Amino acid sequence: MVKDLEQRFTEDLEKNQNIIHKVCRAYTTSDDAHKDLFQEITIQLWRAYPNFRGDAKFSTWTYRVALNTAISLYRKSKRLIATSEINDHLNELEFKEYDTTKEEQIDSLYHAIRQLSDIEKALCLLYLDDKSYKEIAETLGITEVNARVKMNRTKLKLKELLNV
Amino acid sequence: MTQIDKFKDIWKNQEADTIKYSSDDIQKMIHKKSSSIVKWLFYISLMEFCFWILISFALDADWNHIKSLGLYNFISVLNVINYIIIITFIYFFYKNYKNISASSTTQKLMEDILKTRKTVYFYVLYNVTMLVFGFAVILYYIFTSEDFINKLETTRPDSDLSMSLTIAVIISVVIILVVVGILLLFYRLIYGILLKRLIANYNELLKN
Repeated sequence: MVKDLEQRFTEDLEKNQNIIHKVCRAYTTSDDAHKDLFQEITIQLWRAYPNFRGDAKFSTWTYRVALNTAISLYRKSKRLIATSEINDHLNELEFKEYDTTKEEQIDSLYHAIRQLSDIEKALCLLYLDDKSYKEIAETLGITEVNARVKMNRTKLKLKELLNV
Repeated sequence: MTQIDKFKDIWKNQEADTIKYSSDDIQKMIHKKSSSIVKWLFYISLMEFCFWILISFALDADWNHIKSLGLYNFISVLNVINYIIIITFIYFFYKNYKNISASSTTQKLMEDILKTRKTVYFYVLYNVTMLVFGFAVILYYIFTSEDFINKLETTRPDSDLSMSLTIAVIISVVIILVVVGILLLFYRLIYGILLKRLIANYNELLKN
């Protein structure tokens, strides 16, 4: 029974891991920290899995748990913070040598997102993934009006960071 | 379409991450131990519960002498009340801890974590109050007991009795204040480090 559940979970997650990678890339700045956060999100997902009723899509549910873990549960270790600071500095250098290739644009976008606050990062990710205000409000547990206000502010900040 | 909207296309068309885990990798991960804030909160709270229970046992042992001062009933009632309150606190702590779920909304998750911490905060506050109250009552009985006054008169025959008593009270109050201060500072430091980011995020989320 548990084995079946475990297999179903790992297969579902393997298919949907991109969602978690996006969250990890936005909230961390080194490979070590990325892997560390990915692991923590996976553990949290597995813990909450028995209560996953399937009335929401697995991907939507994964997104919520991943963001919640990154915002409220994840505890950066000192070692990871130290590495991320160095990497952030490296990213800054890369950002200055701006190129229009697709990968460079993605890097620049992540670099800008990383400079936002934890809540703004979540808003930004949900916006870029085309989630409705209703869904954003439901994920974060705030009103739709508040979500709109926050989103407008975040977009302005992102615009400034991206220089567009 | 705003300029920012254009980034949606880049975002959606981003290549899959360079790190790719197989279902075997994921299976190994789910058996690893969590290092989340909630786990830390749970361990620290358990240590706090144990610490105060040990303190009450330690004081209980020393109170045998105090019982001879006529405090037996007082201490017995205090002990019963104390244990009932400790069990109630542990029950509420466990209930709050169990309610924490990563699949709640972000705001609810944060509130549930902070609620759990608050239970432990009140538990510590209760214990500190009891400690101060207990000491105050015991010191009052010691300082007003004939035994103590006789000892004071024999050891310091030339000194003013009320002055000696005042000094003894002041020293006791200072010691209690220092102990309470250290405990509260230690408590604030631990939770300050652990929950600083969470509280900041919570306030930002609620702000309009």
